Amino acid sequence: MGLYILRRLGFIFLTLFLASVIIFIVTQFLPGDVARIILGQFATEAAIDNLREELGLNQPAYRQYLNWAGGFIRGDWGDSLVSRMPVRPIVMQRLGNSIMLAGLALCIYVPLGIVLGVIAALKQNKLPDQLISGISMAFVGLPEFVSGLLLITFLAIGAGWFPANSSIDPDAKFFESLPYLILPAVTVSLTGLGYVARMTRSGTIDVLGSDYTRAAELKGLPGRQVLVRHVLRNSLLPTVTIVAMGIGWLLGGLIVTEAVYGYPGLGRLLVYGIQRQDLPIIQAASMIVVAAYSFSNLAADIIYGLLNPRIRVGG
Amino acid sequence: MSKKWFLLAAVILLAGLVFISCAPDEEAEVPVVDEEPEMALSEKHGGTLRSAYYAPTNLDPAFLSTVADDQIGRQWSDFLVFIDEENQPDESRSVAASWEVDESGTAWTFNLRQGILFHDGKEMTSRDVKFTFDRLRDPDIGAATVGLYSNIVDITTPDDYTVVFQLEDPNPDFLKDLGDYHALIMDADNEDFSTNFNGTGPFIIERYEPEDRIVFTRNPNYWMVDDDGLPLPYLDGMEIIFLGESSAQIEALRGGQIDYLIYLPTEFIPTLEEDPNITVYQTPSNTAYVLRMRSDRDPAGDVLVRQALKAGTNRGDIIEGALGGYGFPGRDTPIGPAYDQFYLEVPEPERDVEKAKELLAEAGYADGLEITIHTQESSPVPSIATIWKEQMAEIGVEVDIQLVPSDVYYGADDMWLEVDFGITDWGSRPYPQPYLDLAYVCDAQWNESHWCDPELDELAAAAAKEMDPDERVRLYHEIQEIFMERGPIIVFFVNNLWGANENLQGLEPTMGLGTALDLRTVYFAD
Repeated sequence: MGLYILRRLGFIFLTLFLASVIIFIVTQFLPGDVARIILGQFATEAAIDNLREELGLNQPAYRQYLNWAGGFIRGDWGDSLVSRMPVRPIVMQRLGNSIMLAGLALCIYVPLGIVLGVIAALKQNKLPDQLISGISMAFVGLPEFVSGLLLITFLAIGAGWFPANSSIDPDAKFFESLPYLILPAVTVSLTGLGYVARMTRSGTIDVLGSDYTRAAELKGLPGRQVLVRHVLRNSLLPTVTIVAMGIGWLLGGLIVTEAVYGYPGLGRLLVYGIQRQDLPIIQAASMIVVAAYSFSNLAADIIYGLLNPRIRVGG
Repeated sequence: MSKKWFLLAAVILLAGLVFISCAPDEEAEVPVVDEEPEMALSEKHGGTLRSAYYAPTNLDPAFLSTVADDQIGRQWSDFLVFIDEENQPDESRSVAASWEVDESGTAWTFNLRQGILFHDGKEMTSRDVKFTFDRLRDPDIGAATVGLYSNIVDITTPDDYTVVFQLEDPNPDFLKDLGDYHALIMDADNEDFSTNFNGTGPFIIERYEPEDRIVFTRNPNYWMVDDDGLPLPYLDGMEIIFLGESSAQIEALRGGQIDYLIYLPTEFIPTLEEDPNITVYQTPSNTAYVLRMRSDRDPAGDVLVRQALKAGTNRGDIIEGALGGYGFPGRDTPIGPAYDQFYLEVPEPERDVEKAKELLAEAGYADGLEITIHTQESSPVPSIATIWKEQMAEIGVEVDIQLVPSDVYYGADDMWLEVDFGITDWGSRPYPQPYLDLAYVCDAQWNESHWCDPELDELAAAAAKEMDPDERVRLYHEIQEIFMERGPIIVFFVNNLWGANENLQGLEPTMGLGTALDLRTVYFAD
């Protein structure tokens, strides 16, 4: 097991390295010029040239990459090209915000999705199942800018229960931020809920039809005990994967939701970086997102193994 | 440990966490600058104005370029000459208390107010003013204003409160040039303008988080007073959250998280006007969407084609359909009604499909013409292009619309200067001359239509130096006649638009370029 984890960690670092190279290459092809963006359309060529020199943009591309990578490994993530402020505190602050939102969303949609999925499985093809499956799939298909704006219109501006905008102060503590987190978390949960419910439903249906469940029922165990001790433990295996994949998505992929609510998460920071071609910000933020995806996948595989000894790998 | 004890410990721990996270932040209480306790404050005093806008790209005054940059700059510094809401110099809001020009129109003398303090307590003097404008015209620094101030020969400071600008040629617009949005008075001892914001302005930058927000506090030593002699500004502070998405800005305003929004896109106005808590402010401006036709090659190189396309255009329908009526159909010239007497008042040209077809036939396109218009994706430009396309179809011109992102249209390859047909947006300047010099004389830097008319060049050069106001009006009118007759543009002016919470009072809409309002006299009604 230890060896397996070590090998997986090695792959994660390889992934991070490749991702950083790819991102760097892609940014080289973005239209526009960061010096022009900083100094504006009307600054003179001489001023633009001076700034490019100052920012090290006149160096060959591979040198720029090595400078960045060398610093990054040593923990120096560089300064933002636009604001000249150190990138690391900015990215870390945004990561903290993203974790708050991801945490709340997971707390909402994972338990709810599991409960709904189990209910749907138990009432397979009956009305509750059809309702749950139909509605949750509809939410999955609803784009976040639509569901988000609907929630804002009815719950924030109409009913006045929640703030319409979630631009929390960067220094705000979790409990101060909580009211601002609810609508974005619900928006995200509407999408996540459907996946979890469907995965749980199909997993549970499989297990319900299995021999060991029938055996447990036949030996006279009460239905509730069969469900908790025999069915759930096995039927939730695929759900674990879906939840783990969700963590990466929640940390870096909520670009639309964060934009609709103005929530200062990693996704919006990434967009901001790309719009301004602020390479150190793009690189640092995407490294965090790639790392989040990789590690949550690793965690999923390990948990999977713990829950299901049959696929446990290595000694 | 029993379960009960464990539970108790958990509750205590949780309560402790809540307490820690809710405890007040004591550092925030320290005032930035010493208060002057003897000054009485107005009843209007108090409150923090919250707004939302795109993140700025640069706060160094020499390199301000976006509306966001401008909105921030004018809070923490002042202008030698403040240009008011009607594009006129206003000495009551300027660092210069008065000014005069000699008979030749080349020596301008400014008398500064005494006792104006920078945020760090240092007094502002003529040395700082000279420093500011020397920096803005220094080619080695390369600010966008180098061209604007190239006419300045020398700046002298006979004493601490007098500044003299010596110009090479007379410049009737010089006061307005000094009120350019880059010309925020800087501290001559400042060594880093991108991080040190020591200005004289009504607000002090307390916290700047480049991707998130900027927080201002009131400058307790600000020099301006209101009509009752009480100190300005009224507001205790200001906060601008950086939100790039228009819909998020609008929802934040409707939901009451912010009080004030500038530069509203027209498509959101109907929603805001329905909202009883929101007031929409608007004023005509010279901000324009300019449909320009490249005139140095076929097909629009032929004046008959330009005239045909203009004759086939229904300008009013485009203002209604694409700008929701929040605009003004231009007369095919860059000079709009915002310029008062400089504007040549003529009725809106009537659409004439038959005449358009005749002109096209005369130009050799009796069987129709196919053209491509390139333009940016950002609203409302695609709507303008689409409606125009329908109108053109009726005169036998088939228009292919190519939409590209704004940063490609204005990008490194200068697509906007190259394509045959394009729609370009132009900001509102305080006077008409820059449009001519920048875009319409033959060798203009941004002559996007590649139009070259020697008669126009002559008139534009004369208008630039004409110190007699009546003669200047005559020159500008003649210029507009040339545009109407053979010019390369169809122009749609859009109003400047703002939204604000209805209890925010004292907002005065401006025709100005950045549309940032003067917040010194703005206050919250109780």
